[in-house]
Amino acid sequence: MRLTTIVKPFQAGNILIMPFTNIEDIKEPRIIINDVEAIPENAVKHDARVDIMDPNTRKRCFLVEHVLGPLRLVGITNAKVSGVDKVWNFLRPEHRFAYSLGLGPEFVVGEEDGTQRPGLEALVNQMSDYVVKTKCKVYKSVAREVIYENIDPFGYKGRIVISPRNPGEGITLNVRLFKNSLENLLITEDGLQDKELLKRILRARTPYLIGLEAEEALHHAVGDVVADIVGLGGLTDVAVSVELNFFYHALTVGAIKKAQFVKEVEEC
Amino acid sequence: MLKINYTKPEDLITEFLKLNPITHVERNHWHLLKYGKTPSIALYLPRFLRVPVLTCYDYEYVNRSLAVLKALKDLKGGVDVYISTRNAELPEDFYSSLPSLVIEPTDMNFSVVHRGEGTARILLKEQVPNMLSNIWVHEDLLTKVQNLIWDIVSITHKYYPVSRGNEIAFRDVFLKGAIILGLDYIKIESESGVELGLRFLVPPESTEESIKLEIIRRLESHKRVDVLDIKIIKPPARVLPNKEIHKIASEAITEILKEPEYEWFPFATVFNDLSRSNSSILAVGPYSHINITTCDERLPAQEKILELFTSFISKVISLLKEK
Repeated sequence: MRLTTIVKPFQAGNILIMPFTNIEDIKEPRIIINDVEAIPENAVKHDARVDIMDPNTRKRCFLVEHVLGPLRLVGITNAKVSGVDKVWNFLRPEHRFAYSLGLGPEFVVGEEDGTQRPGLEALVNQMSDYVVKTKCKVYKSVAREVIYENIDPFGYKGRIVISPRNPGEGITLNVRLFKNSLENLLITEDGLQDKELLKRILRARTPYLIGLEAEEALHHAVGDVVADIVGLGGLTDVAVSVELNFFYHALTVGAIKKAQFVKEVEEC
Repeated sequence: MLKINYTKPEDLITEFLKLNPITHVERNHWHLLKYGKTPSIALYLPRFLRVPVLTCYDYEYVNRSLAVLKALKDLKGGVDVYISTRNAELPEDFYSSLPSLVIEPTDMNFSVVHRGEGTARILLKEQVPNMLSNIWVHEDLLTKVQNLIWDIVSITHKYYPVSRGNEIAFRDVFLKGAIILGLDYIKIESESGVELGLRFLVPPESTEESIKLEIIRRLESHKRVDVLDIKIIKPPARVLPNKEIHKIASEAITEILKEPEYEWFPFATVFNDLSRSNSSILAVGPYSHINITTCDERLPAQEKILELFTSFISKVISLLKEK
């Protein structure tokens, strides 16, 4: 998969997406949010949401799945991201958490209304102006099949299987959220192939606010699965089959933390 | 299973004394304190018993604290334990700079922010008719008052499930940061009209002016209403978790359970008083405040969570001694 980066800043809702200035930052998939690197080791909370924290600075970013999933779904693999919110909304638990730590509201990078990232739709319509593919090709898969199961606090069982695929084959997804499911979704270096579904995912609100049964909740969950497996895990070539429970980030990030990876780099 | 059933405050104090005979009764008799020989950390078991009425919630809250206290009774290491029985100002000679843990039902979250409390008055400028001769007008007035009250206390949000009827655990996720308004009293007088006394919970960064604007917003459909005398009685509390006690507690909980999660405590407690003079404080404890609803709960104190919390406190004490 060729690495793809943004070439000039683009604001998508409450985040600003910026290019890296150092070429060394574009040698493998890399997203840095408010100076915290989005890698599995930095995921300090993964249940109803995903937070990452820099172990040295102790700075923490909240709701990073709503950055990582959408970026990868539109095909961006490398970018620096900054939150831009300046106003507190203390009804949001993440804002209260950030306030407790002495951080600002910009450290909460999820949207207030629980959507994935509708602000990225505008980018999808003008990709050639903002996005460039590099010559660097990276292939990352799991060393062997990962099977992970858990039970969430509500008693719902979840199960995920991540299987290796050959370099260049991309990501395939089968996602079930209770009664609803989507199958055979393909994510390549260009992002999600089905662009109509992409737009629905970017607009979809979290099941936490609309319930588990709505189709919109499934669309949101697909974005979250991509965030955890592809965004946080940095995978490029795997087959994912997942039956989600309610606090499903424990399942998906849990699987990524357990996985061992293989990586190939070409022309970089 | 450890089960504690108490119904009277006297019983609570008796039980506390049983746990620890070396106690010091403050001159106003509203709190009890054990001084350790080599105090390294103070554990405060605060209470917020509402004055003058003790509710079921109050008893249950203290019962939970006592369940924790029982679990901690055998701990060695100069631990100070404090339990208060009023949500009131602490005496000046009590304030301490000791690194302190305030034990509250935070569901094992760390809390360094507590909402404050205040009061307000609302005047509904209506002529109050003689009930006997104008029953229909009187009924209209009562309907207005009823609607006014519901509009004041009701909380809605365009995105979040905060309104009544939603699952309490989901509501609580959002309500901890809201301005909560409640009714304290109603006074109906023929000359001045109807007066409503309000109590409110106030988040940090709020002012009396912002509270007033919120009340006015909630009452925008009502006419002839004045909002008066908004007073923040107990300011919201906030300490930044950058002191040694916070680092040690964080290290301890990470080792035993997971990276700590911070959440606000929804009402003012002794934490608000202590935080004014001591920034080395942290509120933490097992159980949640939200599932305390009736007098009949009789909390079954799960041994697992108490063991977990006892391990946490032991770890904190040992880490503190190492420093």
